[in-house]
Amino acid sequence: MNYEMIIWAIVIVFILILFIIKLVTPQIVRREIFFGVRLPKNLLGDLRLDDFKKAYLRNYLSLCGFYTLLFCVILAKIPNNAILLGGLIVFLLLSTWLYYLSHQRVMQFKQANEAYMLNRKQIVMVDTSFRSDKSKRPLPAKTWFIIPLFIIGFNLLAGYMAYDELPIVVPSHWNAQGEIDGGVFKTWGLVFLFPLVQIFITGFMFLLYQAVGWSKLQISTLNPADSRERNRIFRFRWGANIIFLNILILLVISLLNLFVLQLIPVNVPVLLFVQPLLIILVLLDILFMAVWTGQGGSRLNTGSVTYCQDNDMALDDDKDWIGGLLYFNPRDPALFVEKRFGIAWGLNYGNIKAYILIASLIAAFFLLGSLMELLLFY
Amino acid sequence: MFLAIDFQSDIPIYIQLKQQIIAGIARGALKEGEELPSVRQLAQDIGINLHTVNKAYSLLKDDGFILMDRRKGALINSRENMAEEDFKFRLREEINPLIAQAFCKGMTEEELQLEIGEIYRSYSQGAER
Repeated sequence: MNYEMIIWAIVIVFILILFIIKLVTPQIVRREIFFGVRLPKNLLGDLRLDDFKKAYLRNYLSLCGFYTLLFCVILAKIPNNAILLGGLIVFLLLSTWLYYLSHQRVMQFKQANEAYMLNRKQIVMVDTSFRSDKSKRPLPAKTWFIIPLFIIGFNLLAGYMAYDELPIVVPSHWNAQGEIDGGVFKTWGLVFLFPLVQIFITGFMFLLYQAVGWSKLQISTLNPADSRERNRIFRFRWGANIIFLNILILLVISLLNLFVLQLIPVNVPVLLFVQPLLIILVLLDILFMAVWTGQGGSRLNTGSVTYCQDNDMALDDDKDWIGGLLYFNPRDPALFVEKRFGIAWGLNYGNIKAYILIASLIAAFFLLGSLMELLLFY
Repeated sequence: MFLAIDFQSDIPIYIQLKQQIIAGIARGALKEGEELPSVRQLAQDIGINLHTVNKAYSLLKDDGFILMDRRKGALINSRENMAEEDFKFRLREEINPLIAQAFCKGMTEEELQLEIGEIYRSYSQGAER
């Protein structure tokens, strides 16, 4: 049986979810940030904002919708990796361009109404107890990472138990028809292969978890106490979600490990579909988190809608955001910043550390590759 | 406790930080032994240079409002440790030009005392809670 068509069907589902994620982005952002522009309080309830949003949705649904449909049809007819990659890049460019048009229109709208902003205090709010508050923690406890460590330990133990029974050549790769088309010689390196990948993934997830805690605190001046609590829940949920995804990914890798170690009989459909399905699941998880919580907890129902009546407004930091998408502020020592138009956090590209981090991640990726090779062939 | 830093103000940010933290202690919003964020974390959250926060913290430390603990970072000091022998002299020096202004603007001694009393009570009543 040929499973390739089913894998491409999963790819098309992946593209459709990506389409939906971009579609809902304007609905999940903070109230005071509109298409990457920080709006002063007097413009927040303005009816013209609804028109901007409707225009964006109309353009997106017609242009990106048509493109996505076309893309899926072509992929179904000519399933090819190059077309997939090229098509995804065009999709990202197209959707970013549509966003940028809306961004510029909102910018002009803000500039036309800037009289309100003159001679007003521009405030940055912080909370001294946000991270030290023991009763209301902004992140789930680090000890949850014991579960991923336990899973890694289990895999090592399984490898140790299975080693004696393994044949001289161990099947390690299957093609889309479910036939064995690759194998490696039995070595102790094979036992450590999957745990090594799991260790790297856990390290990366732990870094993400820490970044959620380190990221810049952004409290709205409209209602600081409410905004603080939204922020806290936003971080807590994403921190918990990172741990959840870490465990999920490790369990899937454990399953593959058990197949290769021949501790459980190979089930071809499971073997072939578990990885693409995992990617779909992660995307759905991110989409769900975004809609459930919103950026900075903007979609939470806290029951509090009252705004402070004073005249202070939040610091107008539009100039530090390139196109409202990329944070570039060399004066700010913060490295991780909540995205204005998008999901979760991004980097401060004005900080040299951002580039060091990106370079280290790429280096870690190549290090993992060469370590895996080392384990298998030497 | 919330700190509201005004980026348009003529008052330097490190002074704003210092004044608001002292006001927080006076109001009882910051209690003895409470941890303040690390210099780095506070600088990142506000989006300012580390030196600015450092300057505010070292001024607060010199005046006895906070302690620097090697492990826990900046902690709010106890009321007893904040007391200072020659504070009255400093107060006189700092409040003098303000009273001169008030006099020139035509405030009476009674009005001035009323203002001071009101502000003082806003802190002393807050601290009782």
